[in-house]
Amino acid sequence: MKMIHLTIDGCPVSAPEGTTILEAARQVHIKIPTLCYHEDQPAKANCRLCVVEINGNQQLQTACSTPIAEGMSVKTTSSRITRYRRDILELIFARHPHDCLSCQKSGRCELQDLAAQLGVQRHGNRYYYDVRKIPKDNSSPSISRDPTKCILCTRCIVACRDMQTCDCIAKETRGYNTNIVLPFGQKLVDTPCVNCGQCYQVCPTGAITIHDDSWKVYDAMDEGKTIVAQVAPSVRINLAECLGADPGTVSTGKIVTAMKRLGFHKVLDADFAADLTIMEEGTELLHRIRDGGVMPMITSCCPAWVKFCETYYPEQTDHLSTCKSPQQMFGPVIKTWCAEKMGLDPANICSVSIMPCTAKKFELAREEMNASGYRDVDVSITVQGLADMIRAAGIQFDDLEETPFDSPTGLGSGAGLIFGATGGVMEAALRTVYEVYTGETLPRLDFEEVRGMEGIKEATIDMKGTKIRVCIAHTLANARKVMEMVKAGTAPYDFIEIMACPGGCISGGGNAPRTWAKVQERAKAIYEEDRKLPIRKSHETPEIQQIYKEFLGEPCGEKAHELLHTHYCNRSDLVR
Amino acid sequence: MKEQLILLRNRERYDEGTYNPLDATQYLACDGFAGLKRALSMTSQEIIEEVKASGLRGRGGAGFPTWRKLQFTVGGDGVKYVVCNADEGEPGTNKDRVLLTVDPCAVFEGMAIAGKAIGAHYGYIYLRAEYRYMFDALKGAIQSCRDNNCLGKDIFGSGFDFDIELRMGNGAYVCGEETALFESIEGKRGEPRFRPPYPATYGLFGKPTVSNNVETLANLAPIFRNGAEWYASFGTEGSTGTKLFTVSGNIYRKGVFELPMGANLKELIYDFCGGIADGRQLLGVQTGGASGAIVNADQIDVALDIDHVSASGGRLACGTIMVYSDKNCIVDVLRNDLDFFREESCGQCTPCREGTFELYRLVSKIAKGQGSVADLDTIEELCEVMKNTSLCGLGVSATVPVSTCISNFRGEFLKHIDGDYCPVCSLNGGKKA
Repeated sequence: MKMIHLTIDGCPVSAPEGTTILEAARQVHIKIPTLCYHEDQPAKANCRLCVVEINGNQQLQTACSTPIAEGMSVKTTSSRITRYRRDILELIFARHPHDCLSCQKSGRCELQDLAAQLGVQRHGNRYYYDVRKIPKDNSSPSISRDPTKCILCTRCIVACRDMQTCDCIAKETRGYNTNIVLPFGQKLVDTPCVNCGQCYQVCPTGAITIHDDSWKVYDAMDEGKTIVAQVAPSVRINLAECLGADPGTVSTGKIVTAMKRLGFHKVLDADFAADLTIMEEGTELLHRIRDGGVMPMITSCCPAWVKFCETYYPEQTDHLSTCKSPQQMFGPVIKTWCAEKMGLDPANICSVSIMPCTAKKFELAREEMNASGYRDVDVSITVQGLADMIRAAGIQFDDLEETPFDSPTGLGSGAGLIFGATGGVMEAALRTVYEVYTGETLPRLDFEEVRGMEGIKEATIDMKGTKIRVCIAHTLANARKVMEMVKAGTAPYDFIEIMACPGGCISGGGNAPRTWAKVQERAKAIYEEDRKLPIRKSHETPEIQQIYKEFLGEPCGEKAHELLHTHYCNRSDLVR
Repeated sequence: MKEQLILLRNRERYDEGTYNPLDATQYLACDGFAGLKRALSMTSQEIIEEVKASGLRGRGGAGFPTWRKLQFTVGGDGVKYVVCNADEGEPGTNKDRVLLTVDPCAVFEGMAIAGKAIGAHYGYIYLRAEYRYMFDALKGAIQSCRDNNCLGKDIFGSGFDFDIELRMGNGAYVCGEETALFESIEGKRGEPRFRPPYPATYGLFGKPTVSNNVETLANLAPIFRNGAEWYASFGTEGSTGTKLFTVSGNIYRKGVFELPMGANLKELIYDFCGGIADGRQLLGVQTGGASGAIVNADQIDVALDIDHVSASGGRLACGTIMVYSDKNCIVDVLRNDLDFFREESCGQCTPCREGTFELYRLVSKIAKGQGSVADLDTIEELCEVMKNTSLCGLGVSATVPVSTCISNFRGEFLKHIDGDYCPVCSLNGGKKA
């Protein structure tokens, strides 16, 4: 790799060719202020905050977009650069509501941080305070848009259009009237939005937020309901990060303690539901192979992906596994088997899920999700939402003691745990499918070939002569590539795992803001946790064996079908 | 002062109705495509040397030496493009319309010469939305050139292929900025790209591209027909050749005129164009469209060439001469310019999107008699920020009329700030008499 030598603020720097000034400046401990820049996205250079002086030129250049050049002399700070940056922020503030105190993003807002950092208050308000007069859009079950707070950085457009290929949001009109809008004046609920929340993940301000449903839990508490919570596998990796810890900090026991303090009556590990999913999905795969069913089979545990498939590939929904997602499997199980075990009246249960996912809020409201005779899951709270509840209650999370999850489900297997990372569902399924199919113990448990952050991964697993060809895709852009193959009948696979969020659930919309670097840390933590667990295969979990023996009968049996499987609809009319 | 008709050499015959510019045979009959024929026998480097010797500089705005633009794009084997920028959006400019009406084949010829110079086989003409009426005629003219082997495969048996496609704009001023124009041709929202990378390495469809104004390309035809030396004998040392000027405003004779570079502005106004209309006094002149400098009546004794106009803080740019008489108010003129920019900023970068609006608001405030001297300071600072931090040329050039107008007409602004009655501004919400 060719190295380029330059000076930044007088300090000599060498970096590989193609590095931007912004990245190179990190070497000399300078973090140039940015707003539209996001390290996972291509440079947009539209906020103009990262302007720097190159070779003494009067006209400044943006550090985020300009690659370094041999012998370049960069000045990242001077009185005029600081003044310009402040002026630019001041211009942004002239259009941005000054209601920080009551904003959901307060304390986590990049714009607010920059204002404090650059000292924008010095001039007062020289410019005309004129907030866009566009109403808030609360139509979506997951995402709330407040265009008045938008600073037009276009990060959300890149996430929605390029990463997820849903293309729900775009710029409209020109000049001063430029807005980021939904096409044809639609509401979010009427667009092909899959509720993945990746736009929220990248939004620097309070323009895109996730609905806060904690009040529903508090209301249920006041009504005297029994709050039974299921905690998704990846919450233990992500919650501490929302409360200020490093990415990948595991806090399983503390989560249970904190939730008990908050007033949740029962806290169950949704790892159990993931194991249940593997039992059902693995069995379904084996049945499809045996009976010549529709192949390849595609996972259905990501509600954003399911909606995407229903919207863009409605003719291909036969490929989707009929299994519900773990959340929706656990829902009816909580209100039937668990309720009986715990001696609770299902009518008096408020079933809450703690999820890294924002699409789960949409999924629980799907019409068909009432297999238990009640709404299977009543409320879904994001990891960030739970962190906010903990913070509001004044619970000092770091200092909490650890509490185990409540029975009857106990602690799940390592297979259920790795559901949180891309390739995890595949790996978990393979561990079970291999042993059920061959009747032999797996020689090795770690399927390294299905792990990692590559967009589309392929592998062939030899099950004693029977070859299973698998494919793992994450982000919907990659899903689309795979689905085009499936549609054309050229997909050379038996089993496909698709997750809407980049890296899987550990980077879901409900977590702390994501970057690839953080997702890698979270993935590392999840695989480490898997290695530590005594049971690493779903079918070996005692509670799983127990529920089939006592209640469900056999995987994919009649009872299981009634409670744990679902059907899909055609949403192609959302695409116009 | 007299017109020097090089680009518009067929105008008279066109006006008489004896010349059909859409028929390639008629263009060929008057020595058309002679330049291209000559260029086809030259190497790429020879062509660029010839352009260099002619001293031709861009006629779209910045006056960048054309040969250097070509030079940047030479080399490499991949696909390249020649783009003709006919998105003539600068208010008060009509020269490209006249050129494309009177002699479109000269523009095609220039594009083919540029294509030969850089090794491009495909060209695009990006036509302004308002010129949609010309679309079919130009398409016919291109077809006529193809039929006569002046465009298309194996031009004049030289083995060189070059073809041209027409694309329509949709009415955005910013699409005259070359990278926004590329985005628009690619079918995207017309927003400028940041640089680097420059169009010479990453242009239209990500390929090396040379983009030039209609007039610049049309100039290549006479340069290669008559030689660089002949061409360089017109105009001044730094700005050779002729220039099309669009004269409008409160003046007797309006229209598009072809004059040698370096023509005197004062002479042009008082001699050539017959002076100020309605017997009024000259208030000021804006050269270069809405994004040009506004000078007062004492500053018009300048030579109209690229360097002299730049020295006055503005740009000769597209050769637009807008004349204001004392029937106008200069504050109102500026307010009107800024109204244009706040509409036409693409809305991508903060300083331009918000800055053009704030400038408009501040100047309007002054026009209404509600301004203060502090507002003038704010305007000045805002101009500095926009000039130095904007993503593309729009945010930079939007400040040109503001800073020149305020420094050349400071007294007028102070009068408005003091609350004096202004008969023009009062019509737009200003202080009533």
